[in-house]
Order: sequence, then C-alpha cells, then structure tokens
Amino acid sequence: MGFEEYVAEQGQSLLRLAYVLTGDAHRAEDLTQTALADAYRHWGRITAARRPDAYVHRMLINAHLDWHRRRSSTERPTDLAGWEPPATIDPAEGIASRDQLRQVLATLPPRARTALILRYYADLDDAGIADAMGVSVSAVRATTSRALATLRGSGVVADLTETS
Amino acid sequence: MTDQLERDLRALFAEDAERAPAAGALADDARRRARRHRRSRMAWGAGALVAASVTAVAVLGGTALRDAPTVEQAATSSPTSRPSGALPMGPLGEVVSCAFGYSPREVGRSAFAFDGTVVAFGPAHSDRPRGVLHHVGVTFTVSEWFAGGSGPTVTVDMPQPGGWSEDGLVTYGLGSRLLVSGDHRWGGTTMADAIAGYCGFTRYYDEATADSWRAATR
Repeated sequence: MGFEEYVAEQGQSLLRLAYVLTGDAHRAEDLTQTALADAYRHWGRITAARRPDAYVHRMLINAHLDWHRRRSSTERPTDLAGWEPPATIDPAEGIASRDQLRQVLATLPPRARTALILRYYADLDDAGIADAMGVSVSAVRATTSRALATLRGSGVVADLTETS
Repeated sequence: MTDQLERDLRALFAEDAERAPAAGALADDARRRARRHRRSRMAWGAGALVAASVTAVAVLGGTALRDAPTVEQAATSSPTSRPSGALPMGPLGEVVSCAFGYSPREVGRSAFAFDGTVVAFGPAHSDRPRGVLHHVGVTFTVSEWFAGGSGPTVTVDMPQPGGWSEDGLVTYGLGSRLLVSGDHRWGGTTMADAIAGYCGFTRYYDEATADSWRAATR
C-alpha cells in the first residue's frame, strides 16, 4: 500500500482519534500531520511491519504524549495515587451531563486519559494499549483501573445513571 | 461486564469523534512537513560535516564500547574542529516525534539537565520488555547540575557511540563533554529511568549554551 492510499483510507480515522485525544481541531490536525510526516519519512519500514496501522497509531500517541511531557515535566504518567478530583467537582452538587463527565476527564493525567480513550474509543485491549503507549500491560491495567475508580469516586456514575 | 460509566465513556468519545474536522489534504501536508524536516536536517548536516568527519574517523574504528575514542583525541590535530551544537542521536527506526524544537526554554521544562563528561559505558537501564531502544547506559562525571538531579556522577541511557542514527553518525566517546537534558522514560521520579533527550536536547558542551541552560533552569 502506498502512502497516499493509506492516508486516503485511514486519514480521517487518525484525525478523529487525534481530536478525541486533544479536544481541539487545530491541535488534532497538527498532531495527525506530525504522525503522518513521521510515517512518510519511515514509510518503507512501516509497510514492512506486520501491522502498519498500529505503527502509525503509536506515532500519533507518542507525539501526543510527548507534547504533554514537554508542557509539564512534573507529570507522573502512571501514578494516580496522589491525584484528587479538583475541588470544584462536588458530588453533592451532582454531575448531570456528559459535559461534566468531559470536565472530569480533562482533569485526569494525560496518560490516564489516553489509556481510557484507547480502550473505550479505539477499542484496544490491554496489550494493544500497552503497545500504542510503549508501556507494560500491568501499567495499563493499573492506570485505567485508577482512572475509572477516580471517575466513579467523583460521583459521575450515580448522577449519570439518574439522569440517563 | 460493562457498567454505566464504561457505556458513558464510549458514548462520550464517539460523540467527540463526530466533531472532528474533515480530513483535507493530509497526505500533501504530511509530505510537505516531512520535506521541511529533511531540509532543516540537511542544512544542519552541512554545517556539522567538518566536525563530524573528525570524530567519525575516531569512532568508525570499532563498535566496542571500551574502544570508543575520546573527543580530545580526535580534536588534538585541530582544536578548532571540536564538535559543537546538537549531538546527532535521533533514534534510527524508533517511534519518536520531534514535536518540540530545541530551545533553552524547552530545556527548562525537561526533567533533568546537566553538564557532564563521559567516563564509562554500561548496559541500558530504562528498557522494558515492551520498550527496547537498544541504547547504552552512559555514566558522566557531572560538572554542574542545572535541574533534576544531584551528586558527582549520573548514568543516563543514550544511543551507542559509533552507531548510525536518523541524524547521522552518533559521535561521542569517553571524555566527551556534553550538555544533557532529558526525561524520565517511564514517568519515574529518580534518575533510574533517565533517558537523554533527542532532537537537540543533548548537545556538545560550549560555554554560551551552558549559560543559556543555567538561565533557563534558574
């Protein structure tokens, strides 16, 4: 498969993933182009890979996490133990919409949010997420389980159930 | 079993994906970006050619780490040819994006930064079963810590000297004085998973650059 053919088939799907990851149209386009430019430079190696699509996904995820890493060198990607929901999210006040779930998600560390997106949007299993993020399967399990526990602890689940 | 939260996450992410912009000329844009990247590398490469050729002769002699020559040895015949600028060490075949260009300000955001001299090589310490970079652990005596560490020596993972990288021949050896900045590869808090930064974030020492790093990390 040629580069152009690949982009014609997968470009929109990559852009969608980039948009879900970033929540911003400009950054999503920039991220997708960064990943595709990397892919173009290494196209021979990518087409020789067993799963070219996974290779390009890794490039996109890597560029995304790299951006966050450069923004904040103090991030602890796989450690959510000390993380607490922000004070503005008060379960007593109720969280009644997906927009509020979106707000809670935005407060998660980038790696935790990325792992959730790869699982619930890209439908990857633990091994696929580990491959895409360049971490171990156990790190993926720990990260997603803590992230879900944090979301549940914020009161999102109960309120979404009540309002759905 | 899928619970309510998981169902809501699926619905929310699908909803977000629907809002994504339409893919325009992604292939053309990506090619243009890749060509710009290549041109900038070629421009840098021309400037570095003389310096690289001196050290290349030195490191091509063998790949055994213990035989890695010193930059001082390479430079004795012509002191003015001491290498400068970024260490060519973009990883060959690895999935790395230079999403952020080098600047002292970006160094200030790195997890660690120091001025040190290479004194030993050993096995890489940051590799894990699912993440193998084929680097080596490089031990430095530290002249100055700018950020993120302390102590007289430190070991960080870097591409092996004398190997080929995306940026050309990796040219450094025992005795090389480098300015090294980088990150914790797996999000650690100690230097146990420290990896030197690509894309210009590891450089040959010069006083002006050291000053700019010192100012950026103050």
